[in-house]
Amino acid sequence: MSIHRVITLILLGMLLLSSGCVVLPIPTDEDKVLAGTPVSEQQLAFLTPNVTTRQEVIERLGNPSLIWEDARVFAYRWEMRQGILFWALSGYTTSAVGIHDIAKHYLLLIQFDEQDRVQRFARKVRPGSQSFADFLKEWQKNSGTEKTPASPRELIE
Amino acid sequence: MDRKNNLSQHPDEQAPNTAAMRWKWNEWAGLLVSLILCVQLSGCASVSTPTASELTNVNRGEKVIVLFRVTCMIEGQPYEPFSFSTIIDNVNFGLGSFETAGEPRLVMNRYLSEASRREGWTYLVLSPGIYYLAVRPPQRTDGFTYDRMLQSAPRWRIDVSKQAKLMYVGTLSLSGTADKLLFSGRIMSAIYSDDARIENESVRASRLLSEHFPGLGTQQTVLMKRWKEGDPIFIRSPE
Repeated sequence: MSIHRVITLILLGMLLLSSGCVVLPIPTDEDKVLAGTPVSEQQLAFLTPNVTTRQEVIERLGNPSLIWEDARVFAYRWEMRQGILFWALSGYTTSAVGIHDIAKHYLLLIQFDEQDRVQRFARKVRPGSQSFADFLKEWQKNSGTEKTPASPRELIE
Repeated sequence: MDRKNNLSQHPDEQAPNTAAMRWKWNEWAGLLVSLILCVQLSGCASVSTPTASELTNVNRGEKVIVLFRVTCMIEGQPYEPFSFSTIIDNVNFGLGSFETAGEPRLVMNRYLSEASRREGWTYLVLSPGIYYLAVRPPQRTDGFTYDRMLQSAPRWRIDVSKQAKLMYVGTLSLSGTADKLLFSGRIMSAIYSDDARIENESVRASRLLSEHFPGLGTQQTVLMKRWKEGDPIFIRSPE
C-alpha cells in the first residue's frame, strides 16, 4: 500500500471519528422585519425640537414600545434581519444543523421637555452586546452633549 | 496438600476482600445518594422567608414585600400551582423591571410557609417602582423553547408604592391544560392567557401578612393590571 493511500485512509478515519461544530454567519440585506414596526427617516420629518408635542408624536407614530416616565423618553423599537447564522454540530453518531436570524436592534428615542414638547430625538442602532436599559441610560446621560439632528438625514448613526 | 492448605487459607484471605468490597459499595452508595440529593436540592422549591437584610430594607422603606396568590383550574378541577418539590415543575414567573427595560427575567418562587405555599401564595421583595410579572406553566419542553415562552407569556403590571412596606397585588386566577404524569397525578402544560384574571382577596392576604410580619403595619392593596402585546411598557428610574 502506498504512503498516499495510508494517509488518505487515516484522514478518512479521522473524519469519521471526529466531532465538532461549524458556526457560519452569513450577511443579508436588511429586508426582513423580525420585531416591531420600523420607523423610516421620512416619517420623522415632522419632528421639530421645541415645537412638536407628545400628542402629535403619538398621532403620527403610534404608541411607543417603552415610556421612561421620569426621563420623559419615548422609545420605539424594531429589529431587522442583518444576516443568518448557520450552525452544524456533529458527533460520532449524530448531527444537527440549524439556521437563526441575526437581528439588528433599531431604536428611535424621543425626549420631551416639561411642556411635553420634543426636546431631542435620535435614531440609533443598539449594539447586541449592550442591554436596552444600559443603552437608554447612556443616551440619557449624554443628553447635554448630544446634538439633535437638524434634519432626519442626519439621524442614522 | 498444597491445594488443601490453599483452601483452608481462603476464608482468611477472603474476609479482608469482602470488607474492602463492602466499604467500596458503601462509598459508591454514599456518592450516589449525595448526587441525587444535590440534583434534587438544586431545584428544590423550599420555603424561603425574607432575609434579615431584606427586612431591614423593608423597615427603612427601601424595599416592599409584595404578596400575591395564584389559583389554577384545570378541566373544572382545582390544581395546586406550587405543589412540586422542583422549581421547574411549578408555575413560575418572570419579572421585568427598569434594569431589564420591562423584559421579563426568571425569578425564584418564594413562600412564607409550607401551608401558604400549598394555598398558592408567593411573594417578591422589590424596590418601589414599576414591574411586569410574566407567568409561565411548568417546564414541559426544552430550555430554549421554555425561555422564549417567557417573552410571550401573559404579563401584569405591578406598581410598587413608596409608601408601603407590605403590599398585596392580587390573586391570579388561571386556567389551562395538563398532562398526565407517568405514575400518578398531572402537571400543568399550558395557561389560557385570555381567561386569566385578577381577583381581590385582600382580607386573606392581610391575615397572612400580619401573621408573618406583625411589626410592619397594614398592607396596601393595589391590584396588578394586565399588560397586552402592543401596549407601551412603562419604566421609572429607581430612587
